[in-house]
Amino acid sequence: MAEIPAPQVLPEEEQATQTRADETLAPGYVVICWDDPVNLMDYVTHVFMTIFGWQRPKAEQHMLQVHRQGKSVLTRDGLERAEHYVHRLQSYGLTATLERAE
Amino acid sequence: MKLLSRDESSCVLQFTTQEKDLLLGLLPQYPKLPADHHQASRSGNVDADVQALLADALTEQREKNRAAAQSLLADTARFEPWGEDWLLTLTDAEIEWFLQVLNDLRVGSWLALDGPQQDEDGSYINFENVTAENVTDIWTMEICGALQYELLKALHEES
Repeated sequence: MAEIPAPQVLPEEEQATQTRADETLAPGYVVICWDDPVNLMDYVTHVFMTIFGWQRPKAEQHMLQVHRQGKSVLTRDGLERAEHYVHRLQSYGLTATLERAE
Repeated sequence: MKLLSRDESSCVLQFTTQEKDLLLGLLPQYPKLPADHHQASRSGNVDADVQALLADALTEQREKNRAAAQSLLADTARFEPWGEDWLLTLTDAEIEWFLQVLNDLRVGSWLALDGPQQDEDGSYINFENVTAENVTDIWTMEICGALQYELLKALHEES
């Protein structure tokens, strides 16, 4: 009778699952807001205060960075949280993206 | 438009009849921003499924906003007469909805005008360039901007 080989766990699968979990939770993404010539400065400040819970001075600082430097990195987070923030910013009509942190 | 009163969860806005009619005339235009306007990433180093997920979430959000706009249009009794003016009570969530809708109409109109740059005097279109084709977009962009400005000023007067 031929021996039945013991079941083996495929290491590739385990590694892939682990990688996805790490990517989701590890702060490997940055959320960026980009300048555009149409959104009102007070509106952008309000959106930052609402979404991130920032006080006005911090929200204004990031708004001015967007206005003067063309973009501002708003937060660094895991993939899921970064997706959530980008969705909320885009819901308000702001030009926001997530990028892999370098 | 003025903020008449505010508590922890809602605010009461005072509209003139003209402002109320302007608002009710604007809402049916929502959404004006193209569905594919937003991108998940500029560098292209984010998976395609992230772009699809964000696009789906935005579509769902726009549908909720559109339904809320239809609801307000269908229930004009929410504007209570107050002397010669009108009162509209909005919850905090509705205020955020209101701002999103106004901004969508403003940015969507700006895109429909091919994204003009702002002049030093703050205007996007010179008066001599107004035509029958672009007057509605110019008007919508300016009125939504004015309503946004007044609402934000009222909301943040205390801070």
